[in-house]
Amino acid sequence: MSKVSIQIESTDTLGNKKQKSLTDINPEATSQQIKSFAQNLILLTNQTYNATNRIEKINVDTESGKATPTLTLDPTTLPASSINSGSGVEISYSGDAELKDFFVTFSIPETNILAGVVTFNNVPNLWLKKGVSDIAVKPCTLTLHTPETNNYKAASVTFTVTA
Amino acid sequence: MADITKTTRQLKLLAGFSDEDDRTITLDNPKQNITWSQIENLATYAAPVLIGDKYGASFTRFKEAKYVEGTTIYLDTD
Repeated sequence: MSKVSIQIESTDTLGNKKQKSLTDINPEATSQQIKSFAQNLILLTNQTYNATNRIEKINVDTESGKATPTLTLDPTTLPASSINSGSGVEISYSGDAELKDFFVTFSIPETNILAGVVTFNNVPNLWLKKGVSDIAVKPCTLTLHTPETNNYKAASVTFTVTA
Repeated sequence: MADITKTTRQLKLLAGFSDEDDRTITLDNPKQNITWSQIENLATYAAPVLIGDKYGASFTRFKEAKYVEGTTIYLDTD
């Protein structure tokens, strides 16, 4: 949730610029409402109203009101050999079942790893399997991503395939 | 040369909110002879703009307005 404050600029009778700051301004207040309030506030002084700036303080961790889901893989690493016939890596995450779209990226090309997400008993699993049968699986790092949803930011977690 | 006396005057408005968490707005260099009806007029403009600092409670009214004067006496340097 962003916090809004305003800075009202005015000039005094000696020509000096003055600034009055007010915090805790209604984020839903329109520019016109803020301007009218600021002008009427300055009317109680001997200053001349110049302008008002609206300043928003936004927490970058909850920007746009969306939380960042935490993705966890269990295990976090497997040897390439165990991937030959297929291995399931359990995925868990904070947040609700809104996370349903996953995709995988690799640290190097030609890993020969077939990666996808299958859900067993409502638990999503990162399923890793050898792609082409006569080519070895290469050690690499792969990243599981979820894209941004209505309530969550995009997130990712890495998995290591060792030699 | 005698000591120099300067007076400052501020207008302090006590803004009331629905959660009873009031706060004071201070205005420097206020006009003389401000009336309470001018404060009530300002309240109509304040209502959609000001919110409480704890829970964002809505502004209800200005409860109090006062002039606060300060006197500064600069000692004679002679």
